[in-house]
Amino acid sequence: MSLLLCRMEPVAHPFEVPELGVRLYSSQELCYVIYENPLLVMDDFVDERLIQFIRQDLNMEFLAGKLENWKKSGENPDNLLLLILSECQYYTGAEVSRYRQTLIQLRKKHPAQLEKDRADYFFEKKQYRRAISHYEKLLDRKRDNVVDDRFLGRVWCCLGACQARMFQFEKAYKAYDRAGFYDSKNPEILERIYSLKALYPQLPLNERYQTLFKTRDVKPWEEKIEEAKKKGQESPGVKEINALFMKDPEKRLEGAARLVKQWKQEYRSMM
Amino acid sequence: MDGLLIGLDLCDDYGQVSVYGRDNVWTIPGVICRAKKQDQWYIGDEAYSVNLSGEGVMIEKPASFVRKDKLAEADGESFDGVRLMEEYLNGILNLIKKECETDKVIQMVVALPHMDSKVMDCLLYCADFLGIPRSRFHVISREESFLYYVLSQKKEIWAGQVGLFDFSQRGLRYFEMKVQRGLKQTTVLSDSEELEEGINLDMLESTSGARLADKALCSCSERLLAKKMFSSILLTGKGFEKPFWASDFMKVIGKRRKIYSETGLFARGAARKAADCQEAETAFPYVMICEGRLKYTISMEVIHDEKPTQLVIAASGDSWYEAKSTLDFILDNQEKLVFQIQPLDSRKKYDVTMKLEGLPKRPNRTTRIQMKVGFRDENTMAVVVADRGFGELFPASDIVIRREIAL
Repeated sequence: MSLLLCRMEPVAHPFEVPELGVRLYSSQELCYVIYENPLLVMDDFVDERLIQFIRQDLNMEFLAGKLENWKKSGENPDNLLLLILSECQYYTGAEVSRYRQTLIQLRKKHPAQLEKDRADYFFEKKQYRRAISHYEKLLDRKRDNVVDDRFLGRVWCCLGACQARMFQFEKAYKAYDRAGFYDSKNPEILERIYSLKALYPQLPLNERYQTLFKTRDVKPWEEKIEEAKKKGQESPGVKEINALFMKDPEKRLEGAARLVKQWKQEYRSMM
Repeated sequence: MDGLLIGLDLCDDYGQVSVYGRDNVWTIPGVICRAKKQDQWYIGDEAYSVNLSGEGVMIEKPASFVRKDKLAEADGESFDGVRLMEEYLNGILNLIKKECETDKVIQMVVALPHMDSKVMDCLLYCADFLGIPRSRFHVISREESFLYYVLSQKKEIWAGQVGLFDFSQRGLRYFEMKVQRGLKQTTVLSDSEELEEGINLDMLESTSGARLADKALCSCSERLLAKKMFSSILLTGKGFEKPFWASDFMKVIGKRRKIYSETGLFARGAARKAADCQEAETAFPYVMICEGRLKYTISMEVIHDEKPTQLVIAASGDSWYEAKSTLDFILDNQEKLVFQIQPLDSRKKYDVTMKLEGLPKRPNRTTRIQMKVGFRDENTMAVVVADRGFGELFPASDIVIRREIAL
């Protein structure tokens, strides 16, 4: 239990992190983003723009100068991140050491696996366009002991999930279809195509799938879809809209404007 | 120096002005007069004469209107205390500028008999009205002004304790100053008390009254000065301008002590402080404990460089009116603020806890709070904590927690 005293940082030009859709106003926020998002910051995060922010807005000339010199001399990018964390003193020495271990573990991974982790990270952050771009890069990779049929099947499956979340159901179906081509034994893929059809009945499916669905017991899938629909109806977002319609017209309009603005922001970051 | 360093001793009955570097002390009666049917104001003796000629309406004791939140009526119009004070101070400044043949006020220090926050706020409004930047305008107590006056004298005067008797229209008041020389810093303490001896200036107009006053002063001085080592005794106020009526009293206070008389003592002390404010380094590197200054050091434990450090919010000897601070903290598994209060006697140290209830639930270390600390008086600290969130990552709520802490 303690209080961390914040230094005065009169930030005039906040540092924008488009991947997270936020602007940073302090050294503590910068450290938090670095620490919580290693996959985002591992490569090229420390650039001229960030160094300028550290120098001019955070008023940390010493750190900015050191970063600049290290960058020029081709220092390991991980060390630049660790330097920022140590200098800002938002995290303890032990926490910085743990972060160093995280980076080491990530660097040890196969490049394709690291790329997939990064794509998955963007998927979790609902940055579907960015996730798609990373998944697509993986499809061009040379095959080896990691990049095999099963791996590619998983990548296509993830691509399908991204497309579905962006309401591009036909593209999603095609991606799941490709996933099935690489990993035909995976029952999850069939279930996803079934769910897609349930969500979007106009979706034209290959006759093969129609036949497969008839021969299988789809009852558990139906139950899952029903459960998801029920969960959706009870979600905080739906509750918020319902509550909005209970308000007087003036407040309803005000709330609607705020909500639409929020949706627009979410959609923009998604794209 | 090109400009005025002004000390003003302001009470209900009069304003006494001293300009640093000059011997004169100007005494301006506490009256103000507004000319009939025109917005022209007169102060002091001029106010009396305009009122006598029937050309204006006189208002007495302008400072009391501020303290009591009263309105004054003049020629069918109402004026609040702030307006009266603006005109009174404006009149005083015009008079001094004319006397000293300069328009520029470098520093101005006002000494008050009591540190009333209403009067202090009003004086700061007046400073704006008079065009004196707030950084060059200070309000202190008479106790503090007494300290500045004494400390600016030769050291032998304040080698031991110093007593001061102030006998004016308001009655008799006794001030005492003592010095505690420490290894790190020297602390200078001043205290004062109203002497309820039943004497007043009117008594001095008759021989029997003067004798009675002398007797009363003798008995109270014997009580006040007993068993203490005084190096000097000072006398001030109208009653001591010609102290021949107090021969017995003078004998009592003069035993192995030096006696000094100074009519404009508080104004001179204030002027000395005004001069000191102008210097890059103070000539009074002492912790001053008196009315208007804090008698406690308030600190908090914070983490700096991964180590717990004691952060001083306000130190004893700071002016409570000016001791305002704004600090931002990040809460690390912390749901309360703990203030360590240390009186002058460090053995009586204690903690005061302020719970931070109602702040939104966020991951650890992603709640930033802004803490503003100020003082209502020398014994009451006001703390306002506002939730600042964590930038756009965890937006701020509009939650504000307020608490007054009795020290």
